[in-house]
Amino acid sequence: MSSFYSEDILEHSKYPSNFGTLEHATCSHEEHNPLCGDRVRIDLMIEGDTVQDIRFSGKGCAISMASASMLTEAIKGQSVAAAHAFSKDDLLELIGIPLQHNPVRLKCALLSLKALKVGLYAAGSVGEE
Amino acid sequence: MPPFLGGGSMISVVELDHSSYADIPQRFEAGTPAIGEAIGLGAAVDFLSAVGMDAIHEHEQYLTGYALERLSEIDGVTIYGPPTTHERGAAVSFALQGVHPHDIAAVLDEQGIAVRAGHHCAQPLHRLLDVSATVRASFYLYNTPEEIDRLADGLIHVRRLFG
Repeated sequence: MSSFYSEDILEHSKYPSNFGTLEHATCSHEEHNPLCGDRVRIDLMIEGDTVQDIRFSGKGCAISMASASMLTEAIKGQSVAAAHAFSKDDLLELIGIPLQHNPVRLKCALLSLKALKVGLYAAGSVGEE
Repeated sequence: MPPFLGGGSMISVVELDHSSYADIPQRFEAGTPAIGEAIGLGAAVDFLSAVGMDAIHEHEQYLTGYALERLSEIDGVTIYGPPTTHERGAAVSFALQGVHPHDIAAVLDEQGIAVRAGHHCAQPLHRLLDVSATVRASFYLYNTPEEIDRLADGLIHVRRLFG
């Protein structure tokens, strides 16, 4: 009966993958949603051209937590280029719930992606220096 | 003070090279006045006066007391504010352990129950209470005790879904 809270979303929010922090992260970045107080931090361990490890931590609604969990699963072990290319639509497809007409919850769903993207750019600028 | 908006009833005399404006307050009320709203307000006042403000207050107090009773029976529910209807308006803010308020509101919404989730224009208070947000149900003269039963059932469903 619940269109937002699919089995998948509920499972990921109850038992998230890659939850935690990395002690020797190449970079980490935290994003906030001031509207609802959600926060998601993404830690990245980049070796060469590969996202060797990724963890997320934070606090938020089921959708923001499940989306972060799914995102880390998709990004772990990928190339940095693939992580850069991973889009909003890619993530929404993974989440698989109708968020197009719900801008407020869309923000929850994309919070982790924003943290990843900003983190990646920060890592890029560190690498170039 | 010049008008900020042009339109009907804000003008006095229009010449080819200049105009003069109506006196204040007409000068600032360009266009069709809120006639429907004024008539609607009158009808609302008539309606509320016929029901009686004391009767409305009594009904609100009854619903609020019943909501406090029903919600406090649910495991994991924390009610914020006074524990009784004394010094309390017809609104009850609460949290359900382990479930984010926006998730609670979304699942209740899918069951046809409208509540508000968030800071309710009281961010400093939420910071003091050390909660990220709360859910708030509010009642008025058109609400019924059966609706509070539905809210309680809805919360039990939420707890089961996220449990």
